[in-house]
Amino acid sequence: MRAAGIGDYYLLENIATPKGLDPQVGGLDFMPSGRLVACFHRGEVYTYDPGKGEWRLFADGLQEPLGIVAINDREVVVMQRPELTRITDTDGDGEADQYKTVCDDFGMTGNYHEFAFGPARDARGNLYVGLNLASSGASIRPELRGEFRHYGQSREGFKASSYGRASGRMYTATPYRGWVLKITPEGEMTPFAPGFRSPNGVGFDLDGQLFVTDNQGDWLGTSKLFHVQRGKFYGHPASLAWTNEWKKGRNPLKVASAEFDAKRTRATVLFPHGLMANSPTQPIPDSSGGKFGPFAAQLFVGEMNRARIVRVMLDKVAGEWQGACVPFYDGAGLGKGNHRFVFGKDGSMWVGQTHLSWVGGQGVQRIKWNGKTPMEVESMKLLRNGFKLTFTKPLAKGAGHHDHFQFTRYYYEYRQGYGSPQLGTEAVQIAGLKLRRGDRTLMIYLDKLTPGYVYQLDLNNIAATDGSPLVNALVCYTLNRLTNGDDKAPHLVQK
Amino acid sequence: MGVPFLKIQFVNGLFVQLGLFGLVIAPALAREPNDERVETDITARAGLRYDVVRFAAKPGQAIRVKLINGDDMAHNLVFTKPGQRQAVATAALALGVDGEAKNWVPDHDAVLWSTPVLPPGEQHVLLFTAPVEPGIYPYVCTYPGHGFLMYGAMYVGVSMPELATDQHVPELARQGKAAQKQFHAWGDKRPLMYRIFMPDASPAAIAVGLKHGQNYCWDAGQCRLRYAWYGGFVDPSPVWRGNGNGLAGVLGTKYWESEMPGTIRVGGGDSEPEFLGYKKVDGQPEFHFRVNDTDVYELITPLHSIIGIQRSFRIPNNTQPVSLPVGPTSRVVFEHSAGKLENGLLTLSAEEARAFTVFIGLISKSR
Repeated sequence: MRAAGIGDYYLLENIATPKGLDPQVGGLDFMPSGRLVACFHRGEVYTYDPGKGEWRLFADGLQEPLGIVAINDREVVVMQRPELTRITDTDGDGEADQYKTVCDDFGMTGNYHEFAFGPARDARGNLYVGLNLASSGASIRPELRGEFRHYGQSREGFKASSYGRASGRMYTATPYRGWVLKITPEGEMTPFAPGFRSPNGVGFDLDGQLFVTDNQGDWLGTSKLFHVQRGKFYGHPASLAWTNEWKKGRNPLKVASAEFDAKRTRATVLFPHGLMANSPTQPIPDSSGGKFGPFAAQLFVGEMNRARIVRVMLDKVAGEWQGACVPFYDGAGLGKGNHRFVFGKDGSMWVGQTHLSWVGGQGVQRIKWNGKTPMEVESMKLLRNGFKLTFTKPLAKGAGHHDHFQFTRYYYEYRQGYGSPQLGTEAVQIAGLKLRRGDRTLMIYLDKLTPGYVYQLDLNNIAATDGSPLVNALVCYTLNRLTNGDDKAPHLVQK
Repeated sequence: MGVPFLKIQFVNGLFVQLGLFGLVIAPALAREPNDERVETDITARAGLRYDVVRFAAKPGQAIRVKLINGDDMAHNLVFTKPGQRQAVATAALALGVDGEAKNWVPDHDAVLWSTPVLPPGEQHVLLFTAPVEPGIYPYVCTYPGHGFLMYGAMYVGVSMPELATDQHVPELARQGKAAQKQFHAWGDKRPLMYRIFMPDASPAAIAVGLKHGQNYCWDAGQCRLRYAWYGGFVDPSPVWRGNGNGLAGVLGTKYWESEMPGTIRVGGGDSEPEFLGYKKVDGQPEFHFRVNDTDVYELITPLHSIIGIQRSFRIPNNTQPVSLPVGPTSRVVFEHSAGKLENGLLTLSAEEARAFTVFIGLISKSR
């Protein structure tokens, strides 16, 4: 069987960017007119006419913009480091002249790691942004914006201490670092949900549910995708300093992990580190209605460290979302640093890349489906005693055999330390297989199903009835809860 | 004229390159020193620089220099006696309001030859005879603010050092850089603004480069002007490369810094100012912020008669007294269109404060 590549099904085009521009992309969107709008590392916003291949400067002078939403043909909203800004071309000459602060009701210490991500816009026009924590790789500056608060320390005490060890890897010292904020179009801000470390991906699915990615590190055993709801806590405790309960200065570094574990909402999907993604970015739903291939309405998530875009297959189990991830686009001309995405009206996916001095890339690429259906796992659903896999095309004869499917399970510990190894790794025996004759769907029954594990499925030698081989053969399902609602997973907490 | 047009001198058996991008031509074109005339075109470029930063001549040789203004600002070209470049540039600054009429050329005995101030796109030819006295004769643009960056030297009967060690040309030219490093697709442009980490300001700082090499830092975290400098703009590299933990470097000389905390006060109370954004006016930001429920606008523009800035405030329909901390005023030229200045605080009546201006300028040594 010949090796299959995603390049057999999708066409990848490199989009030339203006000469002299540092083409690290912070955000991408389309204006109603069909012009692409992109913001870049050194503060520029350009529009692009895909028909003519021409870029045009729209705005400049922004501070590390990391997200953009087009409101209309003359107006965009950009999340930049210090604020959410509405940028308008009031006189219609193609270049913005008005920059209005929508919201700067959050703090800044000047620590380099305090990136600001988003915005993602809901159906009512509210904008959601994610605020990074500060990094122990650096201190805070003499002048801050916003109130100082750091685990009960005084401002002077903070200076004197070694900010590295005493503060933990990622820390907060001004308001709402580590939070997702909700901002109305008029600029009213609500602290929406705490618990984030580096939420470089804020997006809605087609049903209006908010998803946020976060990056492996302290308190994150591996990188994650969260379904985010107001008031829930997503696991990194530094941000709790800005809740009433923690106002008086408890130090999260001196609290047992179990207390936070009891409060936290687990990730919807874990991205196994080194295997699936090391630095996930924007989640974006396939809004192409089928023009982009067989994944309509599913979420794609970018990955910085390798030439990959990941696909997420959600599964609602006992009323909550969990699910699986699988590589979607791997290599085949794609750059690294896949950061921001937008779908064009023609159903093509535009990709903006960056690195910000970490592993990554730069530039703009465009991915179009060529109309041929790749053989892929289309969905993965939990059953009472196994999984139901649906493929994009009927399975070739003989595929319904144990040899083709290998399940392994492991977990990542919830702990203060940086990342977690895979723990409890073991092979899971397949108790039975049932392929619906001539069908795309396969039931795989497993010996052991336990909440709090990643179930990794490696598929070998799978092909469709038309002979096309399976393109992506690695699927990782995050089993938070069983179909009966049982989600007890005491093994996740470091003792 | 019968004189061969030479861009290059054959000196001491070496090809001497004129400026950074001059052409090296064959020795056959070299002429006996007394027969030839040095002809050189010097173009003023964006970023306060001449494209030719040095050329050679023999004592007593005929010289033809054509200044071409290829920039979007006004420039001139003034030759001075050796070692007198800064003195002449400083004397030009001291001309103040008389400067325009004098083409910014001071009555200074070190001035040898000069062009008028040329508007963008124009050119002017200077014809003169090189001094008999060997030496390094500077040339400089004496338009206010330009002379600190925009200069070069005529080597008369003196051999040139390596460009990289030549203290008579601007630093960027010494480094082999034609101008400040290009960070954008548009090349040089002023006004230019960056929201970027700046020294001596909050993390929500804004750096603005105005025309004529004038610059300031305005703090969006505190809604106030922090300092002003002349020269180049900023070096953003420490922020834009690596992990971004650096501060942008100020490229030039600070001449004013607000040493008093706090922004403008409208009426009583000490409410936190609220930054609301800015509108671009001829590319320059007019900041908008709110103090004590009152909208305040500040537009900063460059002065032309001296190195300095004009701060234009608008507080439409204001009904309350206003006070503006202006910090130290003894080390600068300070003027205000209205109000009373006392101990670094400018106080204005409600009516005066609806529209007023404040000027901050560099005091030149000879003033």
